[in-house]
Amino acid sequence: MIRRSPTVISIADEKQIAFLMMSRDGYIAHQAALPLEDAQPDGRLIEAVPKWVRQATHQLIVVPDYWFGNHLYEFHARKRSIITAFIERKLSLEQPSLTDAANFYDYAMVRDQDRRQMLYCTYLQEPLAYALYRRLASLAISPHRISTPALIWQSTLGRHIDGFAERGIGFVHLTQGDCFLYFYHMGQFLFSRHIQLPETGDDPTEIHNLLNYEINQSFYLYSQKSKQSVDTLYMLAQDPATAGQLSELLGRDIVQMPCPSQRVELPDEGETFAVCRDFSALDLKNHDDPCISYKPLHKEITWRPVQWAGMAVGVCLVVLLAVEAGFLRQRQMDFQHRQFAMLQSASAKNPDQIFHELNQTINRISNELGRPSASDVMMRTLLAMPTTVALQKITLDTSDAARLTIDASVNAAHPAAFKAILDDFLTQMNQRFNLADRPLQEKDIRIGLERKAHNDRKPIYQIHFSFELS
Amino acid sequence: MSRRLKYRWFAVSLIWVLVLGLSGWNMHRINQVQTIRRNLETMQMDLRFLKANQTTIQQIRRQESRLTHVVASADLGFLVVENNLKRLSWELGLEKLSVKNNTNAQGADAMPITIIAHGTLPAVAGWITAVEEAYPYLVVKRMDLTYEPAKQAGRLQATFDYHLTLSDNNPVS
Repeated sequence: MIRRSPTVISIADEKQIAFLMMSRDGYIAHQAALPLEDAQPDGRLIEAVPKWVRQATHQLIVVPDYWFGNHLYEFHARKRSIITAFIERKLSLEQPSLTDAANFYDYAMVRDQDRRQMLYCTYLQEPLAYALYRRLASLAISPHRISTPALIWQSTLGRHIDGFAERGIGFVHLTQGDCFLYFYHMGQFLFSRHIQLPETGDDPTEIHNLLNYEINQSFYLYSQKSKQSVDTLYMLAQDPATAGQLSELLGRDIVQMPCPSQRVELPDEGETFAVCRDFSALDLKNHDDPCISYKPLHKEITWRPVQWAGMAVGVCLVVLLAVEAGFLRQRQMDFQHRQFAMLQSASAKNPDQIFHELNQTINRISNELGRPSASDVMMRTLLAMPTTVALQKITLDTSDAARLTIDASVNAAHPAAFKAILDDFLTQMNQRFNLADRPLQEKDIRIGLERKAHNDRKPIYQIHFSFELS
Repeated sequence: MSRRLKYRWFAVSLIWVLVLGLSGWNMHRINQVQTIRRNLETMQMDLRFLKANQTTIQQIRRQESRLTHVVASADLGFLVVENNLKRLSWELGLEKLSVKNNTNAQGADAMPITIIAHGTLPAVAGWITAVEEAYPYLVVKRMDLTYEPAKQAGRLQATFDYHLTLSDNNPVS
């Protein structure tokens, strides 16, 4: 089973940075706080950062709200490349001193009350944040996500308030010695304020008056920024009666948020975790919160599972294919040995060679058998001759196409008798030599006439013909 | 692109190149094994065929061996042929048999031999038949038989191709 490295969450402000390691169930396993001077290039952050931090994955850093800036633009395009190009151009124009701002921003597309499409862009605007990030990156503990309390509250409020994305929302977070005011427009963080509360003993009137003043100031600022008023004001306080008292002073309703109970609180060590007071450890581990990620790192993290899956599948395939290659090699060697053994046991010659020789032998025998036999030709000729035909010369030439030439004399009393004898002879020849395809005919015969001096009444017919033997 | 991202892509590419390479190599091996297997099966069938038809093959070889005269030298072979032809001519009543060979054809597979003989038609026919049956390595290339019916005398002039193979070990027969 693959053991995942533990995760660390850090909380930073302008003075210090605190690291928290949480157990799987959300309890704090380790914690450490370091002054932020150590994070300067000449600081001793390397030595000061505990080993458990360096061995863990730095999931999140929570920085003060004012380290983030935000802008709202009317924007019609929805194409990602156009939006990012627009934001990066705007950032380079509006924040020329922040050279790396193009890598530290996030955006969301929202619709205002008139259903116009707006581009909400949030970015890292505090130079100290860039320095801190670079320092952490040099220690190989770059945080994967950068967030603020306002953004974490945005996520929490979004889950609890109906119509959070459509209304103007104000949120008062009253703690023991501080009060935080958060304002959201169209579901996106607009601005926040931190109010240090005076020590007043048991009488909260002074605090309420201070809050009344600050909240009204903030309403005014909200109207300036969003061109709208705050629709609903929510409050989270230890004492539920505070909401009612403050409501009377403000002259408007305040909705009391349910007090987070049975939650694992972050440690309350003086000012260390003041900004994150009332957050549970699980709130910080929520990966769905709006945040900013360093673009190259975000890309790397996004592609990491794909790459690891590619490597794992590839390695598995390599192993399987290597095993297959080994099996095939073994199989090939087995067959080769068997072939060799068979050849050795069979005979000195390869069967192919034997068949080749046998084929040649049969061809030669066929050729020899196909050649006309001289004795056979002679016997057939003699058998085909009628008694009145006397052989004079027989020539057989088998050098190319076998050809038989015959010269003979025929004793006949008159031409009609000669014709009858010749017909009989030719018929016999055609039968004996199987000349059905191209039978010998009278026109193929050269005929001569020889008369003897002492008896010119009995002529001798000389015949000569030649034909190819098939 | 960060260095780690690049390295990982490089590793992924390397592994998959290896996968593709191994796949190709294995396909090549599979083809080789298939070829060897087919050859082996063919060889087994061939050997079975050769074993089952050994007698027929031997007969074919014997028949083929009769088409060539195995002799130690061409001259010696010619002497044997001349002797055999003359013996047959005496036995079958052929007269004045003369046998000549073409000395220019030394070293070739076939040596032309020309014979001239005289005799009756049955004697000539019997002699030709006997020669073809007894000596298949003598193949008639041309035959001229002139016959005088009145005298019942024939003159045979024939040219044979004498097929011979030179061998050091085979005795002349």
